[in-house]
Amino acid sequence: MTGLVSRKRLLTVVAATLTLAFLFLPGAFCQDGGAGEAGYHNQRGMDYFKRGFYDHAPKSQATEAERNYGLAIQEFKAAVARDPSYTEAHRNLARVYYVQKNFDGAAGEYKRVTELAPGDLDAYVNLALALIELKRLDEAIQALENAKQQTPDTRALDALDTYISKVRAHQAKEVK
Amino acid sequence: MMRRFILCITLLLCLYTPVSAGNPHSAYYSSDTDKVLWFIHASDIHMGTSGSTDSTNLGWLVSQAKNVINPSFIVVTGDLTDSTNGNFLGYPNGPYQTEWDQYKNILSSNGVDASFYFDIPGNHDAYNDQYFNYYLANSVQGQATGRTQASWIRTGPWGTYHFLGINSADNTGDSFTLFWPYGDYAGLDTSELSFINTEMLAQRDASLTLVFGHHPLADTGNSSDTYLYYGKDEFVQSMNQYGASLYGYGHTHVSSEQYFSENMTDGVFYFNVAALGKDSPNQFTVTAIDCNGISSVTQTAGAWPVVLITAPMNRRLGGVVNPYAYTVPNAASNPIRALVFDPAAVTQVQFRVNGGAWQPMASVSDNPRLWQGAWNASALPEGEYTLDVQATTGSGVRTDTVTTYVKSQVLPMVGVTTLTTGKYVTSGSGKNKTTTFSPISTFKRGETVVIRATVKDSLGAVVANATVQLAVSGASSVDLTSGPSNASGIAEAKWTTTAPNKRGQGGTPPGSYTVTVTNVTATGYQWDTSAPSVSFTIQ
Repeated sequence: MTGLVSRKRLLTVVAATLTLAFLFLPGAFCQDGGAGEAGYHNQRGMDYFKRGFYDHAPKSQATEAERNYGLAIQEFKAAVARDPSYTEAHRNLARVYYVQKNFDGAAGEYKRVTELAPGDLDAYVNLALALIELKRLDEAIQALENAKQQTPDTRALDALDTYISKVRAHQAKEVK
Repeated sequence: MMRRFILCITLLLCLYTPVSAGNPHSAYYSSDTDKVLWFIHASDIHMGTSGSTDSTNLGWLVSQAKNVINPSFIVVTGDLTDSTNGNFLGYPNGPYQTEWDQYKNILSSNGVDASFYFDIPGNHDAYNDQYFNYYLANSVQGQATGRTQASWIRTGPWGTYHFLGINSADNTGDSFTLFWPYGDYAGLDTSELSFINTEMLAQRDASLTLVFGHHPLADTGNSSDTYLYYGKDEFVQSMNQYGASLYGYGHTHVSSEQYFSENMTDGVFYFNVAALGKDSPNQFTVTAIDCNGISSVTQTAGAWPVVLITAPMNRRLGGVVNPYAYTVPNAASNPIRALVFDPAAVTQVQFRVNGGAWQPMASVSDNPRLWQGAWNASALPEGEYTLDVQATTGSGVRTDTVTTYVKSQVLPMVGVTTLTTGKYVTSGSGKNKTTTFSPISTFKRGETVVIRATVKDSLGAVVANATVQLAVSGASSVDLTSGPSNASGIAEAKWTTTAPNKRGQGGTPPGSYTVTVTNVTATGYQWDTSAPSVSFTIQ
């Protein structure tokens, strides 16, 4: 009788442990994109990012937003530390940096995205935007030119040409 | 799952609820001047766009335009912000609270509130924001209702009109990309469709229903224009079921007036308005509903005057025959009405038909922005006519033009069925004295010839209050007009002849005479042109 109760208890404890593990360690089971711990950290980073991005954006709650951005950065960094080729985490990290006006950090991360996913044209444009903020216009143009090498899509090529023209026009204005 | 369940319940309710929806065919031509409502439709403010006049134009819209036009409301169909924060590539990588702050500041400093200003989201308000948190926290309607869609009514002497603002923006929160669908997989999800159906059902007694959204319903032919990729069929079905009259949208940055009838019994006016804040020509639209007839004019922000003909309706809206336009009778005093808006004084408003002479219009006393004139179309043959209304103001001269169709009135025929001559004869005396009509055809000079005509319509029914014109011919001639016919349809005319003097000279010449019907007039009838006659003799 005592042994039976102990077995029942044991089964209960095992079931509870598995349930808790399922609830609190979702990274390994249900994240899209990166696998394992990297994916888990990326997801947690997005949760923090959205909290800062969405819920606390009004100026009165800027401090709270900053705190969440900080936590998001920690998580994205943890994700790329575990999987350096995890493109999505680099992209997310770049985005938080950009929102925080850390354009140097954003440029570095977007550059990494273009290396990991050369076909991601939007990463080149975002890289160019960060470089423009840093007044590195030649590099911005180069990033956009590099993007053109990655696609035969005429509409995308037209858009990229328009962007390049705008940067060149801005450059000419700066020179004047 | 829950959303699907709610939609199913709503659709079932719709199926089992008798629909007495808006009726786009209910427009009518009337001289009433108290059944005119107008509003402003603007779109694509794109607050934050580099190098644009976004904030200037929004400020103008909610200050000068609002004060001068005095619309019933302003509806702004999306892309309230640009999501670029002024980056000069124009690449939307937001959302940015600074853009929303600027948007809110302009509106609040001009006293805009949710009872008057209806702003709905567009794709630029949805990038990277799946649940529209920025829109809900910052837009006028989002803050007021906690929803991304809006529903409102206006009630007046015209009855009730229902207006609906829908959220057609992408529901995934995707980022903008250079590739189709550019982060804008637009559509209406189940909860959005459920709201639309619920509101249309709730306002099913409205005389008209007008809907606004950001996106076009279907492919525009321009590959960069996204449109409703999901939920369109259900939405069009709802508009059809509830008799929507109009779908107004933005997104494309061009203005057009078309008609959308795909999978619809009748179809809806399909009005596209260009961006107010980004790209030229920075336009807005004034739409009016006059006796249930819809009209609109699109104009560049800041350009005055604005002139909009509200009656008669434009038969050639969008280049095709407007199925909801009424015809105009060939009556002598057809009303022409136009709204004229200008911050400067309006010195003259006039109209003309088919490029003819200008004729004056006058301001309606209790509605000074509304002008009216009277158009005599009685002599016009049936067909299409072009009407121009031109306003001259301190700002300049502007003309609005519509095409209308004059239709000949088909009136029932009326004519004289019997024509008799005679005289009144008195007999008896005292209480027994009576006077009766005695038909005779021979009269002495000096007697009064009484001519009786019986007036009947083409179905043989007698017609009262008709007047008969007669011509007497013979040794002398005279034209006579009867008094109005009595309840038996009898109209009577009298010719008093003259007797010769004592020497036998003068007087009405004796001889044979003939009296002939030359016209019959009766309200609501036209003469059948039959001209019966009867002969009599003067001795």
